[in-house]
Amino acid sequence: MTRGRINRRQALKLMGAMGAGPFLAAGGRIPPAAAGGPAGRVVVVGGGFGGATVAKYIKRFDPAVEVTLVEPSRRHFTCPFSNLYLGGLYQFDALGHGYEELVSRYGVQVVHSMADDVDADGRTVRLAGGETLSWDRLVLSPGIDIRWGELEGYTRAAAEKAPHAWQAGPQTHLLKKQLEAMEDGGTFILVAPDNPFRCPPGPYERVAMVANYLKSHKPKSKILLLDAKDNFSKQGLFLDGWRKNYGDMIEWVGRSQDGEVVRVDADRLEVETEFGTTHKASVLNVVPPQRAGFIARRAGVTDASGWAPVEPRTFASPRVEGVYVIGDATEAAPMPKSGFCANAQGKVTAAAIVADLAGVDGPDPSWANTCYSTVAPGYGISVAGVYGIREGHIEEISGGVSPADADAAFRRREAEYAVAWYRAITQDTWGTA
Amino acid sequence: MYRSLAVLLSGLMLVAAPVWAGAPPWERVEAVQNVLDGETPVRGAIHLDLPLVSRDGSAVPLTVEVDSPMSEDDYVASIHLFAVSNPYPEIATIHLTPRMGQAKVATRVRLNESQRVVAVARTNTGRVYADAREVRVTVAGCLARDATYDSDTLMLARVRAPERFSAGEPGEVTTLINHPMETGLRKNGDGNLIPRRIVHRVAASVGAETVMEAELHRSVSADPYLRFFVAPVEDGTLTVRWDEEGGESAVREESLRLR
Amino acid sequence: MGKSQWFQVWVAAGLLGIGGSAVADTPPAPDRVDVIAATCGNCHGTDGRFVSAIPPLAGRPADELYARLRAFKRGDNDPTVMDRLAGGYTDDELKAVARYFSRVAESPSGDKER
Repeated sequence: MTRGRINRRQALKLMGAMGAGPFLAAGGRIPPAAAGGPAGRVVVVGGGFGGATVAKYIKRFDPAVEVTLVEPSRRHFTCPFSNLYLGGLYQFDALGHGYEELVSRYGVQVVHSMADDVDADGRTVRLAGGETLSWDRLVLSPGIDIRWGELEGYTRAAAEKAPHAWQAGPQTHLLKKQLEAMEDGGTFILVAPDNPFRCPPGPYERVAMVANYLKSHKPKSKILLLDAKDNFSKQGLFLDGWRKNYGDMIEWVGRSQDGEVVRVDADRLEVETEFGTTHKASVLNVVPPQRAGFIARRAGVTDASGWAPVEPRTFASPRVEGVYVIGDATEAAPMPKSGFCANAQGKVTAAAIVADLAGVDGPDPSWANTCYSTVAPGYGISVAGVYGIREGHIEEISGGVSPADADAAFRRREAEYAVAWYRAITQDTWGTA
Repeated sequence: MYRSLAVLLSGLMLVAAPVWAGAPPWERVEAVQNVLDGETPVRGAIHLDLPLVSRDGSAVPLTVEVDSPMSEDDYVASIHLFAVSNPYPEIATIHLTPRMGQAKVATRVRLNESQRVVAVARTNTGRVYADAREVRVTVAGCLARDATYDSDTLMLARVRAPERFSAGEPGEVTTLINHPMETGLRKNGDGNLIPRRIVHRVAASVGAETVMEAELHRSVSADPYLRFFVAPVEDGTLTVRWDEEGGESAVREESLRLR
Repeated sequence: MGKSQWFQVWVAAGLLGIGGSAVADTPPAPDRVDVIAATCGNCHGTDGRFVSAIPPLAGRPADELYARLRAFKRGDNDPTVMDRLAGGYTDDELKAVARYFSRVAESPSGDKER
């Protein structure tokens, strides 16, 4: 009980003990649940891995809680496995997931609209159409927005020529079309940002999948990965996997070798590095700097970093009462910004909200993450971790990357597990596998 | 004086600014006390900037700026940087001159763990400023580090300056040298200590005049990176020189041209 | 009535078109084992029921599941990621999670009671 409200359990208990009269006389608000209505109203904004999961799991933990999910799209296309689509290993349609099961099986109300504003005092969300939704608890899971213009020259217009494809959909198709139109012997350039950003292994899996496509269709081509970092996720495994599968097709240039791109000229498909080298691309894929999605910033849950800090146990916002933030929009290091983490956070936060509405303490949290990356057909690598709270902070309790010296059978199993994982997590999140 | 100022500032400043009640955060740090030499620093004119959270403690971007006219009569003479929980807290000491035009320096630092970073600045007139920032450093298997340093480009140095300057107006110079900055505290795969190997001095000059000189310590990241300003009054050549402790040197020259 | 069991009642009720709140009283608030078990769903599907190259967990004997988890934690059993993950839980937690999945019906229609 954080706001002096009476929750359903307490109301029932107290009413049993002394009748409803004293409550009403004292001006206490009896939630509708006490009279057979919902155990609380939760609005979830964003229907990706985080939002769909928290909506579903709140209903699983307590179906009497009324849950409304606000998501503009009828189908969510996932970033995970969009690299495999680029590499020719997965169908684009298989990346799309709808909300039918959340509605029909779990009783989540899904509103296909955009959340425009949050009134934290009035506890409402305003939708693009002007209507408002009331909530007792609000969960924001808006994912990322691109910081347009933060990387000089990289604007919305530039992204139509030099796609980011870091939000799956039209951008993914655009990049795929450009790859297909590229001449044999051309140069594919990928620009990777500094931390933190969505999907830390993503840029490195992407060049591998582009290499997989080029190897069979345009084998004389080169791939240049210009990086604003010197260290990246699963670095040794990627460098080794690239070499084993694609020879010297992929060249990675880290920050200390002048890999940081400081300016993009999308019309000329050129990039300029920190120390003034210009690189010309045939296809230019820019993974730009990012921040929390719009509604998180609008709601006031983000800080100067552009991301939303969270209370480690529950992912409640320390900045706005009653509001929780999960997924890529949060600053939850050392947890990466991954779909897996968003799903795991959705479950912990669902438990925390159900407990909070019931007026009891939520469980000690435990989250997990496994990021599979497909380097080539039958060649997968992974990083896995379990996270918990130590001394008030989120910490990695256990984890690590695939062994450097694993044999071909191990890599093959991880590639198979990657596909099995994708089907399982999308089933667990949307129920549409 | 300090306390009343701190109270005033804490009331005025944004939530993001560090607010410390009671003892200032550098009070019990010996390395900082040695630089302060008994003086009480003032906050406000110095701004230290680091990320709130870093996922890679091996290279955390740091920027420090001091409000100063940087004139012959009134300039920042030195900036001292400390990572108070590192085994050796000294990061760097930067000696500044009026020829920089702006008292702003950026580098990348090693942070062993979550900790406080302190910057102290001293002006030619004897004023002392200090600022501190808390940085949370997280470690994840995701970024497990390689123990080896690729030496193909050892001592390869890079400098970039603006193509044109306005006379007397500061322009930013970016420098980097490929170097492991071996601390002498790390062990190799066989369990033996890797010998210490440090670039301990970076100096920039125009003609015979020193613009900036930095003493680097073990808490500077591998591939030492330094950005600073220079405000040339005429066309000239900027010379940047890196010196290894008891070892090699590298020199790069860059033209400075006025509009 | 345990939580998982309670959930099955609710699902069954849902399939029969009965309103959720009419069926049962307030379920117990989720605990740490519920959260850990939910986390497994990420690769093994909701309730550990998803059948793929990654084996399902639902309805397997608690002893068998616990023995496998303990082996993974030791690095045995030819693990890929499970050794890295199993180390994140105490033996008691592994035992509780094994028991949790042993009691989950293999299919949502709930043909296996506990």
